[in-house]
Amino acid sequence: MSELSLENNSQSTTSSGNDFLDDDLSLNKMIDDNNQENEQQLNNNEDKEKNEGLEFQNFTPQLDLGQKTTEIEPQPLVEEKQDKSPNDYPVWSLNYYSQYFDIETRDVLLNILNSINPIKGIALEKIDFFGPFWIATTLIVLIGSLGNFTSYIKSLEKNKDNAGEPQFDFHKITYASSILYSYVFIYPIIFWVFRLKSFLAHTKVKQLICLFGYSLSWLLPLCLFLPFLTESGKWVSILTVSALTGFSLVRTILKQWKQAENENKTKLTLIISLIIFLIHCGLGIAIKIIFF
Amino acid sequence: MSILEENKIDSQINDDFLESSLDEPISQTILRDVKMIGRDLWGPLIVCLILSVILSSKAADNQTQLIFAGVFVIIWFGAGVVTVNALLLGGKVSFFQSVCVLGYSLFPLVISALLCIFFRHIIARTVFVLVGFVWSTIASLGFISPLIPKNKKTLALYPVFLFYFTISWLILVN
Repeated sequence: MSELSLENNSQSTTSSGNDFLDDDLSLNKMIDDNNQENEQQLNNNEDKEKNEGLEFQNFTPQLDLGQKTTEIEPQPLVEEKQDKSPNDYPVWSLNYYSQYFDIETRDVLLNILNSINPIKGIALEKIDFFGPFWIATTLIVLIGSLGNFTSYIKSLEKNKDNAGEPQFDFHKITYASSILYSYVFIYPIIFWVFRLKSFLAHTKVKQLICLFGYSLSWLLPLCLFLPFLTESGKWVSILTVSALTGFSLVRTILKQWKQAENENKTKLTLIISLIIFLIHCGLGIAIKIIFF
Repeated sequence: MSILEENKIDSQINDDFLESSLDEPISQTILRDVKMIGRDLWGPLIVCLILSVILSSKAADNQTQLIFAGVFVIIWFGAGVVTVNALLLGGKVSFFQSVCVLGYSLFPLVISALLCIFFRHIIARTVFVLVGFVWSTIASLGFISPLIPKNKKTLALYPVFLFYFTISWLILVN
């Protein structure tokens, strides 16, 4: 019955003319239809997932699923999410990933502030993907824009009578995005895959991603100042910040080593720490060379 | 007819739908979606095309295609990512509705871009782009803001700001 009613609505919307007022009304109808459809889809998902574990609809609580009986009735969108943990959703559904975004503004800000601490290492409040992803994206935007701005300044210095407009190099954005996204996402995954039976054996991928993502966060304010420094100033500041964040990163990993108490692998630990530090500083240097 | 009888007939109709062929309701659903979406996304598509053409026409010759494609990707991918971000943070929006709103809110920036073609002076362009940026951001903030839980508001709104900032920068620098 709901299918028929939705069909009727769509017919009425397509038959309405190009009148602006009509578009407004039909938009509202479409919004309502969308919401209705979403609720329907969610109920359908709920049914599908129940049928995976059960052979027939059962109104008594099942031991293995641990779901409450009240879930069998269709529920509005908000309560649905509170009853089910994100892990119950399949990997390809969006709701599965909401567990990585279960974070508040306060947590993100604290994570950023804590991400530079060479003495104690990075102490993250909560593991999330929001921070790493948006820090990387912001860095890309900043590097792309300020990098072009820097080349403009350089071209101004070269020919003093340059009346030209800034030559915008879009490649900067593409290079920046590939470098940064791989550093934040692909590199930790590779690192995690090859982590060997060392003290890092119990680290989870998401912790590494989070760690590497937040370690980039102090490059953000740095980038704001870079175009306005002299050449040596740029090098000094980039190296300082990279070294500090690199140290914090290494310190965090070493802390885990102490917790694991793996004393007979000192050499391996040192090598791994060195690699992490060098790659991190390498990133800073690469940013300086390519963009500024 | 009593309500019970009506309900019985309705559920029978539903069963018939499901029984006849599994594909039937799905294709109907998809067709319905396409009809609704196709109409709604024309606006943002036109906005995006205009913007891409404007920005790529002023580019260096070897980068025209790259910028055209790049702007396209930034707008659609950016709108999608911002929407997904809002959804993951627990916002109660529908995906296409949000993408649609973000696309339509680009319109002030399109006006700025058009104005920037005619007035090449740097200060005038900055003013135009700034006005367009503020206008677009406020427009979409008004839509998304009420749908996000309070403690995550900044987290959901910051990407919107970033999205419009990127596009404004592209317009300004061109």
